[in-house]
Amino acid sequence: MAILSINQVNKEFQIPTGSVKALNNISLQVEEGEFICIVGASGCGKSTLLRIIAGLERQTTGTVLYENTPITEPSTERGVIFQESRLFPWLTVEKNIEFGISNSVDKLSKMELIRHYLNIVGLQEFRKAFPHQLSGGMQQRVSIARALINQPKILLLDEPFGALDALTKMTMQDEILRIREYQKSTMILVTHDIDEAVYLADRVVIMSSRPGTIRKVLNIQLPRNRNRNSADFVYYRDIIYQQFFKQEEPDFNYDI
Amino acid sequence: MEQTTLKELSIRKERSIDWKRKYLFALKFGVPIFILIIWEVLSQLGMVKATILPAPSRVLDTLWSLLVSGEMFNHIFISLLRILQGFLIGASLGIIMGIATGLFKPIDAATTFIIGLLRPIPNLAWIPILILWFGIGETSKIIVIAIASFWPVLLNVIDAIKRTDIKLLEVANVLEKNQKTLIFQVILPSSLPSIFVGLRSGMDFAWRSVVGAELIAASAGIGYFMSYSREISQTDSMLASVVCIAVIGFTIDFCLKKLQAKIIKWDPYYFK
Repeated sequence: MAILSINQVNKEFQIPTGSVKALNNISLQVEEGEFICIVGASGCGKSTLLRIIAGLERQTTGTVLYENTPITEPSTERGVIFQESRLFPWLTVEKNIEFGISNSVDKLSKMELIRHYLNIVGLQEFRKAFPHQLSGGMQQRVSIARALINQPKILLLDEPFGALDALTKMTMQDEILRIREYQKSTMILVTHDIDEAVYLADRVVIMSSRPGTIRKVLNIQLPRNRNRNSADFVYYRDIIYQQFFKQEEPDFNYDI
Repeated sequence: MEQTTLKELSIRKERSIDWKRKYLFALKFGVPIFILIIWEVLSQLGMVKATILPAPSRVLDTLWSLLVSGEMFNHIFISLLRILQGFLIGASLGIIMGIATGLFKPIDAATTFIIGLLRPIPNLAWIPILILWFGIGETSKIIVIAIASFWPVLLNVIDAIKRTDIKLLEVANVLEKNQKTLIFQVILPSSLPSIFVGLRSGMDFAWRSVVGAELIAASAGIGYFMSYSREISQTDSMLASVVCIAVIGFTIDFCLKKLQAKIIKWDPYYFK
């Protein structure tokens, strides 16, 4: 049974000159433990879809069910990681992570949890630092720890590495996979980076713009520890590329 | 090869930064001193009448004798007490009302017109009304100062609260935080820098209003002493009290800034 069930969702935004359709008839079933990447050009509504799943936004029509219950507001069971790290500048790294913990946890376990997640994101030495003293990648690690600390069943990632440089981005992608191994959470990641989608996803959802529609859902049948330069990898990348750009036929085809 | 050039570049850059810093430092002190020297020279040459604008040396002389006799300290102390009381009342009301107005839409709606209409009223215009209501004692003087410092604090606090980054509020929302956490751990801390700006300009306005406040039947205080000096045409005493107000105001603002730096040591924009 799907952990998340999106059925015929439409979303319209009211602007001064009328209304804009952001999402058009979106349906998607997400199984527990799956890694879904939603790829699309900017403005295709992919972030809106993620925000609806997070409970930050309401769909105009259609239903979004999380474990068979309609989503009406945010919940710690659905963690969110935004493009910007969104750390509180007045809190140190450990206090920022502590902010994530729900109030029901007692103080001793809180300390234990913070230590644990600091280790997971590798920032033990920087626990007393303020966000502005950290690099962009480190800030994003803190925000990941803050989102993980409640052990959400679904992690929603909104272009989480979009603002990072190429090398840091690749390290972070591996880290997300490692965390996923460990936490066993379902992942939904929004990106405009096709390589990122092929590298991370079990299924890639390709969206087109105005209004945001699902154009194609692609199963990535590659074993983990994927090689970004293998022929199979390029094959999947090419399929997605062709959804966005009209391409001439390649000179030769790969045999899979 | 490339490394040496890079190193050289960084040294050159450092030198130019060093030079720039010295240049700015020289400007900071040089320009005021230059103006004082011109003023002094013009007075010594008799081009500016001493009854209109006495020379800086003369003003300092008078200030010195007023300080030595203790007369000035007495005036300063009395005014300082009034200002602190007025500021304390004005600023705390400003903070409380500002937070309430910034946080709660109904309060905002209820006070929009009241704030908008009362704020432009000049400080001096309150004096006759205050005398009528509170008499000519200390209360009226303190209230004049309180009103003066209230507005800048109020406006800055309201603005700070309303400007809380919606992205940070979303984070709290996603983590299922309650209203109390939202206010005390997100909205208020993020408003602190602007609240401090409000407090600093509130303190400024408190000093600016002291002359007006001491127009109300005062027999001591630096504002009173200033008006009195004018009446008896002692321009040097008048300017001596102006100097006092300026120096004290500057010192208090300096302390507030230091306090701000201590409390808000996380603000990456302010302390670059």
